[in-house]
Amino acid sequence: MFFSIALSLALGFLLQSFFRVRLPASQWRLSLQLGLSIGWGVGISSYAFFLWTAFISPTGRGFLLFEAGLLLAAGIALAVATRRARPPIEDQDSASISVLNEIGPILLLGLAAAAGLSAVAFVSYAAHQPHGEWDAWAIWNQRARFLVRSGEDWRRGFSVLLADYHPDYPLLLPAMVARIWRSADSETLLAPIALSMLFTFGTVSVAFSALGILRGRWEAALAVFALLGTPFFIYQGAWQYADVPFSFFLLSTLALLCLHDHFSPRHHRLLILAGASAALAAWTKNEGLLFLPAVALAWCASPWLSGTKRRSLREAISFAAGALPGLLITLYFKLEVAPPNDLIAAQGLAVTIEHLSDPSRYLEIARGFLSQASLIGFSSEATPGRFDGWGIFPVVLPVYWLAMRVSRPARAQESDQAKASGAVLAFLAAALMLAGYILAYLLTPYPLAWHLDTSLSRLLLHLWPTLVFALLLDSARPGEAGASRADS
Amino acid sequence: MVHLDNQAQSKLTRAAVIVFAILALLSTGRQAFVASRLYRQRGPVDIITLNERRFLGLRDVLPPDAVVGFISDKPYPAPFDDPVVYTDLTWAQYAAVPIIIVRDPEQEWILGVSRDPDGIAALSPGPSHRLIEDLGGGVALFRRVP
Repeated sequence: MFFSIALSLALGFLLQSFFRVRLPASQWRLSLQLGLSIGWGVGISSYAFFLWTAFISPTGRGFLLFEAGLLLAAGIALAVATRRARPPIEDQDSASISVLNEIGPILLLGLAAAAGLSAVAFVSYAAHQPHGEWDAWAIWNQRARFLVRSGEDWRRGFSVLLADYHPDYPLLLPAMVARIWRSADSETLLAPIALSMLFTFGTVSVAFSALGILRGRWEAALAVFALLGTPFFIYQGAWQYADVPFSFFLLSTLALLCLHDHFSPRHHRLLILAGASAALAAWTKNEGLLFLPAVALAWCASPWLSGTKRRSLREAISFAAGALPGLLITLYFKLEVAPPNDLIAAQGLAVTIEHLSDPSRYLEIARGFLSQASLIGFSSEATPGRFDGWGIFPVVLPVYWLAMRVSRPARAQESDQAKASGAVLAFLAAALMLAGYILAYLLTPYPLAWHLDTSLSRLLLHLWPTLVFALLLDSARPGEAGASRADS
Repeated sequence: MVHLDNQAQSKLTRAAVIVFAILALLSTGRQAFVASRLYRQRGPVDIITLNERRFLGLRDVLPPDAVVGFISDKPYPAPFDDPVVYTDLTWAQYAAVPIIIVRDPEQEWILGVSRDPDGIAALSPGPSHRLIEDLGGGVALFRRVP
């Protein structure tokens, strides 16, 4: 099992390295690449497993050999590309930056303690409920079981008879879990637990690294504390739901777009990676199909709002080129394998208009959002099956951001407009996603109160790492150079 | 509005790091405590694994491409939002994969699930179905007979 996971991660690391991402060479960049490898590795493996099942062998015969061959090919391609390519941006200062030295021993101790305690909590939750919580056994791991147990009849797991369990949901997690089970020849519960742990702490790692590059060690550390200090984030990760992996891809996409704007606006490889990351979001949850247009729109609009240089057609083509392969696989799955989505299939035009014009639905949604406030703070008791809530950071972090914003020197100018545009991009993308979620609630065929009660917290969790990133990106002092200098 | 110079803002950021660290350590410490207590209080087997064992015999009796109806303690068809019935159905489906279980009393095979381990006698699939196998733990298979 561990070998197959390591194979995926190695594949992810090699393939993204192949893009010769033009960031200043530093341990921050290595840290970011390691974090992104999780999403890339799992994404590529799950795409490959699905396509292999669909077109080559539903029983998975030969797949591991194919993947090993893919790893070898990627390694050779990278070696060849490395020889031919220009040297990376060699920034004398940043090349010598050791992340550990820059953070310092005391802060490092605090970060390690928070990470260690979170890991203890995660493992304990996972051991208490090794099959995860509801969605894990009703949707994600159930689907993985169908992929493994059905053999030649693998499409059985997408029957309309299983409508209660959302057989139209995309396959990043189920395909990856099934892949690990096949290679281990066992439906080991460690597989989904390990995946969930990788994505949970991988999300923290991406936020830490991206902010370390863009802003500096303090903002990077604040992000780690804010995310690990959100009980719901850890608990939800241990439940083996797809919401934390989804939040990983949202954050990765936006971080890559911000890094492109700041470091390599004339080179488009980061855009290709960002597009691929956005496509992986759509392969993780249906909400990813909302995220793609939302992030594209936000990305086009953010220069207008922040007064920076407009996007070029070449940039848009690069982003689209990165997204296209994954998007095609997702669309093939949606059109040829999965049954219609329950939210869309149940609606007719008359019902849609009725829902949109019903003021009680708007009030119900507002009530749902307001009820989230009761989950902020330290709850008094946790009981099995109930999460601990949002903790205190949904209040503390915005207060910090506000304090930094209002206390900026009166005539200070953001010396790096690219970072200002990045924060606007992230805020706008999150706002568009939120608008999309509200629309989905307005139109839902399910009892609205029930739908809000069972899903709103998780939808907000999708946006939380992105919001943490955006607030900290925007809250730094003007002229703050971050860990590395820009590509001039 | 108070405007601070860069040095003052740096101090504000460092102060925030200390505050964030304390809050995060309190939160993660509490999480670790609560979670490890949950772990210590767990039984020898988690509830899902327990339920898996209830449905172990199903895949031995039925072919992998079977589609099976479902009845429970509640009168059929149980309401969608009945949490007990829906939970039993979901647990059964998770365990029975690749067999598909549907909320339909007219299938040739019917899976009966009772929360009472001795409650099989109270399950009533209908006059055309007979008990084929009592799998124990409140789980039974019925089949339509001509």
